[in-house]
Amino acid sequence: MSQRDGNVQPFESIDERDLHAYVDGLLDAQRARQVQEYLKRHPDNLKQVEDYRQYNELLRQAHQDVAQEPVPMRLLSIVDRPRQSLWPSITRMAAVGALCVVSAGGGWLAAMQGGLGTSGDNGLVQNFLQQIATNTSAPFESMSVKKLDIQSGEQTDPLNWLTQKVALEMEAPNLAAAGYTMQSRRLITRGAQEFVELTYVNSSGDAVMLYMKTRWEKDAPTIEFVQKDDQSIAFWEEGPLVYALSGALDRERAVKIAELVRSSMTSVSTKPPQVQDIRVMPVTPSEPMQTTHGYRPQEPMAPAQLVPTN
Amino acid sequence: MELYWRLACPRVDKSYKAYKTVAGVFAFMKLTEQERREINWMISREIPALRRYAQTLLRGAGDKDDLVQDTLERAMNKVHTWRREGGIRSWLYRIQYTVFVNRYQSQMRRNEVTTEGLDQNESMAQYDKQDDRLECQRMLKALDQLKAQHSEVLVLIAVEGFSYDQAAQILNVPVGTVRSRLSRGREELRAEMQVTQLNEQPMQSRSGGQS
Repeated sequence: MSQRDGNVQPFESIDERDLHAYVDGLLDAQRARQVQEYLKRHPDNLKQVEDYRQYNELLRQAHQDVAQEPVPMRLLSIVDRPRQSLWPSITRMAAVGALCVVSAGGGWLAAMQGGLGTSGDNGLVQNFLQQIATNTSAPFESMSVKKLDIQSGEQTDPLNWLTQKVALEMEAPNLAAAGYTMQSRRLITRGAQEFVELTYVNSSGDAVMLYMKTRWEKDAPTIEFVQKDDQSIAFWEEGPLVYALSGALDRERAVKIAELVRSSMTSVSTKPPQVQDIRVMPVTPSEPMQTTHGYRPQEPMAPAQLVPTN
Repeated sequence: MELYWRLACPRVDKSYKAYKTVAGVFAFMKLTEQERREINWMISREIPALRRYAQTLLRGAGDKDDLVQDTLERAMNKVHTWRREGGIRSWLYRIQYTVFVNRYQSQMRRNEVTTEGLDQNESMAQYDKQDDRLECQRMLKALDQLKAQHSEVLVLIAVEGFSYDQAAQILNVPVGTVRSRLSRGREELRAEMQVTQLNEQPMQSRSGGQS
């Protein structure tokens, strides 16, 4: 294996290390494109990469059964056992959790405000929803929006920012079972407030946004459902996270997606085949965000047009 | 922080221990019941993955739940040393690997001759139920033929989804070593897979005989 330094190299300098990193989805988007170009001209390496990628997939499949076995009680009891000894120095953890909001369709905000009014005193959530509202309807110059998309490498994934905050390996919840696929990921900063926005789109073009944000308080560990007209909101807490799921969805569907988010966040993850995403996504430089109608920013990258559902 | 400390003062074990104790006491004082539940949840969430990786480490030569149990007990005892850098997942994997090296690896070497046949049968047996798992069987069989240090890296990256840097931290080796082990592991795997592809027919009949 030849040696090379870590800087971005010209096309010719692609070596075996890049091929392995490409297979594992660990290259940034620019380098991945260079590798793709390289592979077009080197069929031997292409075959090698395809083999390796197939092995990754086989390895994942072959190990999946173990991870899906029920966990023996003797292992769970170790973690659940009350401890008198020293406990983690995760003082920052104390203050950190995450709040996730899924919103679907236009007009969710009004319904949400109404709905939250009836939900009582979840000031935390209300606060955050207010933030999203001001964020998405206010001019975008007032905040920095780091536009990212799926083709971005791991280093720039806004979920990594959340991962650092909650010290939890974060992966985008897979909503494929509800017909939604990941469209884009963004890290939005407004003053001291930061949150991650994941956009999912289903086959008919309806968009669902999942917002995730760290929180500074944690109380009321109950699952709460709020419904007003056709809008429903479900809150629940799990581990260090609190979730709020809302949208122009009927209750049944909202619950279904909520369960999907829950299982997706609590199940053992295997690495998603990121490289396949890189292949299909068109290459476009990131542009400053602009918004023309309400909270919904234009998605310069989006293959499918985002259409309000209501 | 722990890592930085070790880099800065590799030999000052006493002061390091004192530092850890003080940090732990402060942490204990500040920790709430809520935080305990949070970290319990975060650790429990990783148990299935720890069992999965334990199987790779042990290669069928021991009870994976024993290894995970040792790992969890150690993790719960030294949870105050977790500094949130790198997330809890790689921290737990690192503990598991350390426990494995300290308590299981030498034992496995002694038993190597007797367990060599066993590990294949055990891992194969799970997949005999389904015909469409033939490829997975081949893969596991090929994986068993790899050197332990190669399969450890390969599974850590391909299955557990760690980056090379994280894998290097977990295995306590330089990242260059991870890359070269991965590279060699994949080459070996490719060779093994091509061999088993040629012998696929005999292998089918063998696995059929076991079930």
